[in-house]
Amino acid sequence: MILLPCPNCGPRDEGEFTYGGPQRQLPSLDGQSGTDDWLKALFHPQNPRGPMVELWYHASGCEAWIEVTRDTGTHEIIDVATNRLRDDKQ
Amino acid sequence: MTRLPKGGLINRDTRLDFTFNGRPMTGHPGDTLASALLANGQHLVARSIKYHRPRGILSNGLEEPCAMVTVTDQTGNTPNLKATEVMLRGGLHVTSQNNWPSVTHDAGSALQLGGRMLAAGFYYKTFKWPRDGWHKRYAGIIRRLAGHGQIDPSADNALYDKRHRHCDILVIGSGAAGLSAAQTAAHAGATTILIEQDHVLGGSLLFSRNQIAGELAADWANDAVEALQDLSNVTVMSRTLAFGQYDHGQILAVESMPADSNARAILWKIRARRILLASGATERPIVFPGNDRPGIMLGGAVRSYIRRFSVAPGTRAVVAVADPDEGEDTFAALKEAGIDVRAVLPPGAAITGTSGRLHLRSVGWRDPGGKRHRTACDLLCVSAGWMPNAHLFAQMETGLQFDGTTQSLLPPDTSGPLRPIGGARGILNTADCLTDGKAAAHQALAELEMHKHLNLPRPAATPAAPGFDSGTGKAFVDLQNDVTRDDVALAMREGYKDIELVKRYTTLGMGTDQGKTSWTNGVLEIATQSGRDPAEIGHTTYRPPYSPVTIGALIGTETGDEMVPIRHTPFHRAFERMGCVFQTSGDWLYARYFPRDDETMQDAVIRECNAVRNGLGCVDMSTLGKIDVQGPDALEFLSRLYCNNISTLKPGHVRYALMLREDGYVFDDGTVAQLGDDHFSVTATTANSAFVWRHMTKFAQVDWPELDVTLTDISDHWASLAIAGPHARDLLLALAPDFDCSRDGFPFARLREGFLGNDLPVRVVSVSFSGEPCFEINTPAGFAETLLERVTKHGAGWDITAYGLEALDMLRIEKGHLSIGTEIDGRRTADDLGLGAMVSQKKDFIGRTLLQRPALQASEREQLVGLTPEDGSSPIPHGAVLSDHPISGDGRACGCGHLTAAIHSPALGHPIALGFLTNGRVRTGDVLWAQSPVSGQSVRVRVGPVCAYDPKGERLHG
Amino acid sequence: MAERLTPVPATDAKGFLPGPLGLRLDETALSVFALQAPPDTLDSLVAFGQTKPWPDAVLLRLWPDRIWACGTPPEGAFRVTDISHGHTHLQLRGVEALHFLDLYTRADLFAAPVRAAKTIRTRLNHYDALLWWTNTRDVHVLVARSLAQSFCDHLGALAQRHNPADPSLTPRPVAPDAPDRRG
Repeated sequence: MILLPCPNCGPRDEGEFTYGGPQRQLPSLDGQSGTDDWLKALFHPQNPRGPMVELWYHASGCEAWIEVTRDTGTHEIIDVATNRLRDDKQ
Repeated sequence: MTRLPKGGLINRDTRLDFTFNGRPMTGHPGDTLASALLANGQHLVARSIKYHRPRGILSNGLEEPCAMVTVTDQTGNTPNLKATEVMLRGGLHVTSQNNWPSVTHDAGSALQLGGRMLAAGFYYKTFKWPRDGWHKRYAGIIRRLAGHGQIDPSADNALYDKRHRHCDILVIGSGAAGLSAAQTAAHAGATTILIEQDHVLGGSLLFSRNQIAGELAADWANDAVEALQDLSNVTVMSRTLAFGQYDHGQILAVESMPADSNARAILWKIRARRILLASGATERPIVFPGNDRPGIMLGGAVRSYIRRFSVAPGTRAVVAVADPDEGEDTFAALKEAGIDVRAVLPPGAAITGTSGRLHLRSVGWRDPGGKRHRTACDLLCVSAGWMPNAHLFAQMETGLQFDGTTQSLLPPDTSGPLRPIGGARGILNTADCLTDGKAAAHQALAELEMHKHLNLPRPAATPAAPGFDSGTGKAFVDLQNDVTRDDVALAMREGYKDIELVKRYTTLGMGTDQGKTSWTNGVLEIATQSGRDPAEIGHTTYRPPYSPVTIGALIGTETGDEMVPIRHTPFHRAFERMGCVFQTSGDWLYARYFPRDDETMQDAVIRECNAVRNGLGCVDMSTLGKIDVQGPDALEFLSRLYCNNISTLKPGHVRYALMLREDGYVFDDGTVAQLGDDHFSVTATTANSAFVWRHMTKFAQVDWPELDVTLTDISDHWASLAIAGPHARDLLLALAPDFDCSRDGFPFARLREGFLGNDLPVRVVSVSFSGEPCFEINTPAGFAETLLERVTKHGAGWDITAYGLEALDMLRIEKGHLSIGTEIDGRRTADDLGLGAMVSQKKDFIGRTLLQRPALQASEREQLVGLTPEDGSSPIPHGAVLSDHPISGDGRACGCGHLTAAIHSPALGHPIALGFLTNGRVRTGDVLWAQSPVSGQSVRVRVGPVCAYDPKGERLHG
Repeated sequence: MAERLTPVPATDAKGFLPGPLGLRLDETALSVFALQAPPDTLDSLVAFGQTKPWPDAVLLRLWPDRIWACGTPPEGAFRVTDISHGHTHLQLRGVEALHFLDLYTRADLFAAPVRAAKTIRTRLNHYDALLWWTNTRDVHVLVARSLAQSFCDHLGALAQRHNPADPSLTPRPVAPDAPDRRG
């Protein structure tokens, strides 16, 4: 089990989280997006051997969705953020 | 008896009786089974897997390849235990394995005559005729002749557990390096765990002659351990084997509990910030012809049996130990035990062979000058050097590297959390190990900012001494799997040159000892035979567990009633008192049916359905997911998630709603109720409850954080009891609500909040899954029993009938209502389900865009239809495939759909079914085959409307 | 005003757990309200990861956007949702109560920040659990009501796997030089 550094709770065991797939940027629901926009966002994420941004839900902790930059080859956790933190940084 | 008169870490005051192959023997607390067998003069312990060669005890640890036995105690028998790893306790019955009729006279030893026919990989080349001969004859015979012990098929009733521990520094191994590291870490204030797989701590210090700080090594170790145990920030765990390294500093270990414990074994999941691997090194045997006889023993093991267990492993010994200091120490130990040392082989000597069928009788050897000797002996102490036990390191890192100076596979430097120290990185000198442990611990403490950097130098690995040569003949490289030098040569000759192929072709290193005494010799053999540098050969992948782990420990409590958590509804105990029969469905324990008197399930379910259709029933709906949604953007949020229009909801109104996945397929169905201006309550199906919650929180937090909306999971807060049937409204009135529940005051699709009888808080929703007039009465879960009591009491006049999942399902099938998993199976669009009109054309929502994809809009899709038997009465088989033609003789048919539900309808009195049929909606009236490939039944069915019973909904709305 | 009905307990937890550890597990009714507001608003009441006593309540701030008020909730600019019946309040009491739970939680209950905060939300084997305590011998637990009975049964099964003088439950005190509680 890997250790995920929740920005709120600190490092916690993977078993407290639910994996939420690669980070995705969904098109706005303004009626303007096309099929390709959605297919690209949902089904064509990058799949690198190396750092990748993915979503985890801290189900057994603070229940926040966090964005984790993890190296898929080594499991090194490079960065972690929540939307809120991102907004605060802007 | 070969027990020495005094000394050893054994308790001579207590005798432990045991038997070996029926022969009574005794030992003492502190003995392993191996030391006790040797103390009783038992050298022949086992027969090898393939050739059935007589085998004895080679080592004194987990690396033991030969001495595998079956141990029987009052709990049952366990095969394939190494005699060296079993701590002796009273009442054990030990038997040798893989021999018949006995270990001394084994018919299987005739296989040795097979010799060359049974070389590595023989089973790939032989036993090929006749074609079915392998399965019919050969496999069975081979299985009986080869292999290890017999499994005990009786249930294991022992208790196991799994536990967590956390610490700053974990030290694995309690020899010189481990104890030194643990002391350093502990004195700096780090929370420290020291783990040792043996029952006594000290590692090789337990049989060393060295002095540490003015006392004998074993005494120093004992004092060091006692001092550590007194420290409050230290946890010392013995009998605990660390068997695997996992991500981010996690180690798994199994603690074997003493016999009188409540649990037999505990799996420990330890998370440490730094791990110091002080697991020492394993001695390397010498490869020479006849190197597998009972009486041939590793040098360190000999010293251990003499000094730690106070046993003389022989009477006349020959010493062939590469390292001169160790050779001297071995000589000294033999003398301490009064054993006659007949020869000490000098460096450069070669061992040419041995003799002795059931026990070593002589060793043939050649001195460096070329002169041949044959020395009579019953004990040959061998050592070619040492192999660091860096397995846990290699499990996570890229690998070990062969080092010519030490002639062993060494771990490279690392910045990962686990660091090998001492013998595990090739340091064999006690003083250097003490230094290395301390330096490594300081390094770790500095990295954890618990101490300033001291940058203490790390000692270098100890160079290997030159070894011994050997002659030609059957020389074993892997003793457990009977792999000889010739087998390795054969593999390479046949083209299996890569180490991975050599391993698999010869099975070298694949036994229960995982090649602990054979791998380095294997690498050297391959190097020698192919003329390559051993560093080029590499090694195969190290995987956990380091040594066999009992499966019970991996299971812990997760068996029987404790296998998975069970969810109970708030009505559970009340239903139990009513004689309800339950079933598990996902996490939940559901009411299945409520039998009265002796009725069968079928009778009960029909009675329950009839009650709902004709009178009054009540059913537990508490398992549905329920989510409270509040905030100024609550409506916007829900509008984006549901595909139908909900903007026209008003407070007190409820609407059936459909949620699509991002890819346009139907995800879940439920209801949306508006409670106030910015306040909604939605339901989700039981099975999808957690998924819908995650779906919603993900959108709220990740995709639309600009929306001001608050979500609260209220699934368990509300108990939900639906009262259904023509008298539902009558009952509701009788419950004395404080709100208007007349037909006009409380029509279909509404929600009312208030109290029943002035004291029972409720939210009542007028929706119906059964198609009968229905009110779902929600009350906070702690009041569920009160609600049920009142419903039962006031409903008695209409013979109110509790019903369960079976009846619920029948009623909804009669109405063509959808269920998760059957109709909503993740591959259907709203239109497939007959709900195309629900999809809003006026707003954007999740799934709208990808729903426009041509394949999801195509007319040739499978659509939900209703089916009835053409003859009006034949039962329709469950799970049947629909097709226009009957199944042909060779079992083929061209399907055009399948059933999702098939029942005998109580309300209609004949069989009905629901299913998906290609182009189903334009095929009304067509007659097809419904065929079950499983049961073989075939029925002609007619396509009809999805709603079989009361299609106009007059029961509800009329 | 409507009379208050007495809620029925979710579990049969009342008294000592089976096994040798002498731990008591009892269920008591507790009101729980979810108070939701932007993090800044909540920060002024309780910092994240902390618990705070309040007249008539204990406030638990284990989410960025939510406080659970156990008892009578304070007034404030929150969205309030009553979740009392959705969670079952249990108390585990005994000399090694917190140490026992620590063996089975994925989070380290004795890590410095948790020892200081005396509250955490984590996973104990297959159950999400919210814990808070004033001393380690008396631990409050909130679990989902539907899982509560199963949770109690599970703690009983775990307790039976221990020995009476179980060294794995030896309490670890706060600082390395703190007095040793053993002996």
